[in-house]
Amino acid sequence: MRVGCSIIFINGYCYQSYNWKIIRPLGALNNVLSFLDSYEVDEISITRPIRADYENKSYESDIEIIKKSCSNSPISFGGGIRNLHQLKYLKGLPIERFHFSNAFIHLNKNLIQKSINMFGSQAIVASLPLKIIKKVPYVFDGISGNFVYLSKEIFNFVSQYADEIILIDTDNEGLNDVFNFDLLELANFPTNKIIISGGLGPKVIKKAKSINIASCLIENKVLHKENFIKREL
Amino acid sequence: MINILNIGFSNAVSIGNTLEDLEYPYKLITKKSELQDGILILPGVGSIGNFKKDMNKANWEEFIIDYHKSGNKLIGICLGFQALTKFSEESGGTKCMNILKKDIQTNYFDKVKRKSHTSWKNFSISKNFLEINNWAPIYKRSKKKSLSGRVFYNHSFAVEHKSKSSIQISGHNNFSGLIVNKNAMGIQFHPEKSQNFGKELFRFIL
Repeated sequence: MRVGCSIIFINGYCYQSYNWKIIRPLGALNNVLSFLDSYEVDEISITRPIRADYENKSYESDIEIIKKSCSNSPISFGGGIRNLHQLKYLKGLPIERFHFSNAFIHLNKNLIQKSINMFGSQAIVASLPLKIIKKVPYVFDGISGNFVYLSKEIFNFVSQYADEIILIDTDNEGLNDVFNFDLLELANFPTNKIIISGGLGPKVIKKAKSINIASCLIENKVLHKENFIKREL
Repeated sequence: MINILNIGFSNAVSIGNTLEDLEYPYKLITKKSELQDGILILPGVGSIGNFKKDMNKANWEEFIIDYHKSGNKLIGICLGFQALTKFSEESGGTKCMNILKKDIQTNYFDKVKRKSHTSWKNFSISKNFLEINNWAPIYKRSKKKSLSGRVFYNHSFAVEHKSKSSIQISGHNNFSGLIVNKNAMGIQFHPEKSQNFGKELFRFIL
């Protein structure tokens, strides 16, 4: 199992987020990447948190900053990739994998298929920010700004096209060691394709490893070296 | 000179950054006229169909084959490795450059369990392996006799091949992690994203 970290990226700066609403600055992108490289984290997930369309105006300038980033660690990037025009900007970035949220939630087959053609199926990851409401899984829809039911159609579409699936526990994001494993049961994707994030800590990582989760992305205490010391070969 | 083919594939810049760190002379090349004798690295994150389409726009394939024939070295990384084989199952079946000979072709990595292989694996390589396969590093900056560490894999297709010129993917013994054939080397993992070990590996092979 891989143990990496998740960082929020806004206008050239990195943050970690709490409870899906509060952000705490971590520093400039290259500084953060430099620290994480020195810790030899297994992977780094960079997300632009686009929760309304007006927040997506910085897309091109953010991509320019990503283009100049420098890291020797595997990186995935996502947030606000919503059409073919935006997809073209991703070509040539120093990034191996791309995560999509709205394209999966809105069953945008054209965008996902074009992404697979462009980057290969191994590069396409679904990012699903989840919440349980009355024992039913809901996923955050960045276009409407609301949580919507994780329907059978979304499940099938994600299962067919995503190489791996990031399940984010939005209720516990930023908290220590309280990831809600009920999300896995309710979402019901195969565990060897799942990456978990939100409320991670030593006990959660231990349990994730025991159930064959593909990867854990630590979103709290991102720059704390101790989180990344133990690793499995 | 180390030339890195930069026709829009994702890890060209990452490889450049790594070589910059290691203080190697390198150039990101977009035109044939920029190519200098020495080593050409073919990087790549993507699908072989798209890669070929971009290569064909400027007849890169024939040019690369001639570059190799005239005694220069080639290193293909991940998708660049696929491009050096004879044929790839990806993109509905794709004829490749056939530089790594021996009927080496790229097959779907794991039809059963997962679409792709995304993980860190152990990897070891020795100077003896390079010598018996006639790979002589140009810069000779590493004095080590062998290297061991972990490398990062992210691929759906892989080269199914076993011989003395191949180092297998740990835990997936039918598939090659690295192949050498005369002046051509194919690397399935991403050394440019394999942190300190990846840098050591570049020093070992360049």
